[in-house]
Amino acid sequence: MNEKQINRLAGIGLLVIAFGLPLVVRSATYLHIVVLLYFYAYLTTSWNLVGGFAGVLPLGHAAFVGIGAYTSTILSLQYGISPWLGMLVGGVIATIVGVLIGLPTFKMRGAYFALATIAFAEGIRVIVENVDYIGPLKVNGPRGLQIPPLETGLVNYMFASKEPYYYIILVMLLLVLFLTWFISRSKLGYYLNAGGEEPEAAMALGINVARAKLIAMAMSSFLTALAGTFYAQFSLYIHPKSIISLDLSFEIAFIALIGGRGSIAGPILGALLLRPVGDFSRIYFGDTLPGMHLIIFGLVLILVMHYQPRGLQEPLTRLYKSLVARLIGKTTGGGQEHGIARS
Amino acid sequence: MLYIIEDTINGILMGSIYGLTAMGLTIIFGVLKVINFAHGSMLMVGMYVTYWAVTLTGINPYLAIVIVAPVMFFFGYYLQDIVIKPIFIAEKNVREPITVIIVTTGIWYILDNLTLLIFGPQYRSLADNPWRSKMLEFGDLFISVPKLYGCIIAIVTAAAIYWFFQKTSMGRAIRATSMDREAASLQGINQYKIYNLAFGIGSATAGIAAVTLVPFNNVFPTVGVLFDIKGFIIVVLGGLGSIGGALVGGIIVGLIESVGPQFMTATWTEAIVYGLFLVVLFVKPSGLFGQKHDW
Amino acid sequence: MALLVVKDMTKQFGGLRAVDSLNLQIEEGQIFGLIGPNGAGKSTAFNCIAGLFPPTAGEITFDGKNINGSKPWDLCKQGLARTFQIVKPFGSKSVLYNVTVGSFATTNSRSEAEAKALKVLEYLNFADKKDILAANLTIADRKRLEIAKALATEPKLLLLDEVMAGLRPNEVDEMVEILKNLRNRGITIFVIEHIMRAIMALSDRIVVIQFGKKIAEGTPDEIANNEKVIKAYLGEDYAVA
Repeated sequence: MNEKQINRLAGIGLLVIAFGLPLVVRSATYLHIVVLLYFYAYLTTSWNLVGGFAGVLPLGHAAFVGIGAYTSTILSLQYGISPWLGMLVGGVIATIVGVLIGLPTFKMRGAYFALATIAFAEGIRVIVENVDYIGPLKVNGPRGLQIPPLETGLVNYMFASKEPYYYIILVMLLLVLFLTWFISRSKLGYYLNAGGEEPEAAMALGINVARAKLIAMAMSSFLTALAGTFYAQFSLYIHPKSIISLDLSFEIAFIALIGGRGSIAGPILGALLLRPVGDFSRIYFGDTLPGMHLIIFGLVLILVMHYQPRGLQEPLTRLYKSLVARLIGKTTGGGQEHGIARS
Repeated sequence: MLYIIEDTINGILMGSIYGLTAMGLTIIFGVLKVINFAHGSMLMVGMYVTYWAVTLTGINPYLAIVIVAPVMFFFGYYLQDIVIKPIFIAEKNVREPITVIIVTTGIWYILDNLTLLIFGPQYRSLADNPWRSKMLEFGDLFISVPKLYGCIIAIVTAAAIYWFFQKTSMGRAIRATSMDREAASLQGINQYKIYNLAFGIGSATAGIAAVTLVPFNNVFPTVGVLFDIKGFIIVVLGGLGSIGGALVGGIIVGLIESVGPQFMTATWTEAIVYGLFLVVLFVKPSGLFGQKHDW
Repeated sequence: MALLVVKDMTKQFGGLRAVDSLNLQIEEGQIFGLIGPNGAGKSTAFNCIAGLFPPTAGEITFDGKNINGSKPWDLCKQGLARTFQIVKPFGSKSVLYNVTVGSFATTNSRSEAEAKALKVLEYLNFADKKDILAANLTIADRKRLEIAKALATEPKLLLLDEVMAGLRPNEVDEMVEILKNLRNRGITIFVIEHIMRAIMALSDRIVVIQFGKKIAEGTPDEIANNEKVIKAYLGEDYAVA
C-alpha cells in the first residue's frame, strides 16, 4: 500500500462514518450537537476563504448569516417563496454587501478591514433590533421571526426529524470543503496566499491583490449566507441577538485560528475541538459558573496561539503523516517537512 | 433652541470622554500595529479598580486616578509582556500578526467573564455619590458636572501624552519604533520593551478614562463592550494612531448621540454612527488625521 | 529599439526631491546599470518605473507605451518584472510555490504554471531546493528566489534592485554569470547595484545619480574614468574593489 492509497482509504473511512453516524447516534440531542458542529465547520470553512487564504481578519461574518436567515425567512413568510430560492437571494445580497465592505478596505492595512466588518455587522444588528419593518419587509425587531410549521418535506425545507438536516448540512460542508480544496490549488488560491503574505511582492508578480481578495470575499459572503438559511430552517426561530451577534462572528474566527487558518482541515479540526468544549462546559458550568465556557475559549485560544500559531492542523498533519509513513514502513525524514499541509 | 445648545455642550463633553476611552486603543495600535480588542475590558477593569478603591478607602473618586493609573499601567505592561509578547516573537516575520489580534480577543473573553464569575452580573455604582446627577446651571442651561470634569481630564491627558511622545526620550523611542521597527531596533531600541511600555500607557489611559466614567456610569462586567465598539469607530474616524484624532472622533460620536435624538428616535443615532463610519471608510479611509499611505 | 525611455522623471516626497529630472534610455538586450551613493534615489526611481507609485512629473515609456501611473500588476503582464531590495518571499510556502505564483502571470493552468516554474528553477540551478520553505532559505538563495519569481513572469525587462548585496564573492560571480546568461536569452536587464566589481563587469551602459540627479552616463570604462563620478562617489569604493 502506498501513501496515496492510505489517504484515499482514510478519506473513504471518514465519509462512511460521517454518513453512517445518524444510524448509530439515535439521540436527537446528540444529533443536534453534531449538526451545529457541522454548521460551525461550514461557516468557518467559508470564512477561511477570505480569513485564511486572503490573510485578512473578517470579524463580522454573523452579518452574512443574518442576511441569509432573514432574507429566506421573510421571503417565505410574506411571499410564500421556497426557502431554497430565498437562500440564493440571500446569498446574492450577502455577496453585494461583502464586496461593498471589501472595496474601500482591502487597499488598507488589515486592521481597517477587521474593524469595518465588525462595525458593519453591529450596524446591521442595531437596525434589525430597532425596526419592525424595513420597507414592506417585516423583520419584527428584537423579537425576531418565528417560522410556523408547514408541510414537512424537501420543498419547504422542513423536516420532522433531525436526520434530514444532518444530511443537508453534511453535504453543504463537503461541497464547501471541496470548493476550498479546488481553489487552494488554483490560480486564485495561489494569488490569495501570495497577496495575503506579501502584498507588494504579489503585485509585482502581476497580481491585483485587492481584486483577488474581493473575489474571495464575495464567495465567502455568499456561502456564509446559505448557512444562515439552513440555521433558520433548522431552529425555526431567528432573532438578531442569536445570529447577528458579535459572539458568533468571533467564534467563527476562533475556530479557524485554533484549527489552522488557511488550511483545509483547520476549520474542521477547530470545530471538533471548540464546539464540544463549548457545549460541555456550558452544560456543566452553565448554572454554577456563568461565562466559564467563554473563559475556557479564551484560554484555549491563547494557548494554541502560543504553542501552535499555525493552528492545530500543523502538528496533527505531522502526526498523521508519520503514522502513514510507519504504515508503509518508511522512516520519516524530519528535514523533509515543507509545509505541504498549508499549501 | 436651548435644548440644542445644551445637547451640543453635553455631546462635546461626553464625546471627549469617549475620545479618552479610545485614546489607549490608538496609542497601542500606533506602536504595535495591532488592534487591542481587550481595550474595553481594560476600561472595565479600570472601572472596577476605581469602584473598589473609592468604596474601600472612601477617597474622592477623581483622586482615585493616582491609584488606578499606575495599577492599570503595570497590569497592561505585564499583560503584554507575559501573554502577548511570546506570540509576537513567534510571528515576528509576519507583516500583520493576526494571531496577536485574536489573542487580544481571547484576553477580552477571559477578563470579562472572570469579572462576571468574581463580582457577578449586578450593576454597581458608588454609594452616596454626590457627583452622579450634579449639574451646573446657567439660567435654563444644565451641564453635567462629572462630564465636565471628564472632558477636562480628557484634554489634559491628551496634552500630557502628546508632550510625552514629543519631548521625552522614552516617548521619542516609542515613536521611532512605531514608525519603523527595524530601524529602531538597529539603533539599539528593544522593540518588545517598547511594546510593553505602549501597552502600559494605553492601559493607564483606559484607567484614567475609567475614573472619569465611574462617578456617573454603572460598573458591570460587560461595560467595556459598549465602549469597545464605539472606540473602534472613533479611532477609525480620527485616523488610527492619531491621539488628537481620537479626541475629535470621540466628540463627533458624542455629538451625534446627544443631538441626534432631537430629530429621531434615540436608537437610530447608533445606526447613524455606524453609517458615518462606513462613509468615512469609503471617502477618506485613513480617517480625519491618519496618514495617507499606510501599508 | 529602445525598450524603456525615462524622460524628465521627477519624484517629490513632501519637500524632498528624491528623483530630479532623470533621463535615461535602455535599448533592447542591454544590461543597464544604475549606481549612486546611498539615498541617491535609485530605489525610488525603480519604484516609479515599476508602478509602486506614480512619478510627480515626467514620462515613462515602456515598449512604446506610456506607463505613467500604471499599476504594478498591469506592468508585470506587459513584461516588466522587478525584484525588491529587501527580499519579499512568501515565507510559509515552498520555493516551487513561490515561483509558480510568478508563472501564473502567463497561464491559468496550475500544471502548466508549475512546469514553467520548474524550468526557471532548473535554469537557475535551484531545482534541488524546490521543496524547501522560502522562510528557511539562506540570503543568497532568497536573492535567487527573488530573481526566479520575477523570471517566471516571462519579462522583457527585468528590474533588479541590489540582488547581490549580502552575497559572498563566489556567489557574486555566479550571479553575474546568471545575469549574463539571461541577457543572452534576450531579456533586457536594468540593475541597481552597490558592488562595483559586479556592475562594472556586467553593464553595457551605466547611469550614475546623486541627490536624485544624473551626474554621468557612459560605458563602464567611461564611468570609471569620469572625474565627477570619482569625486562624488566612486573614489574609495572603486579603489577598494
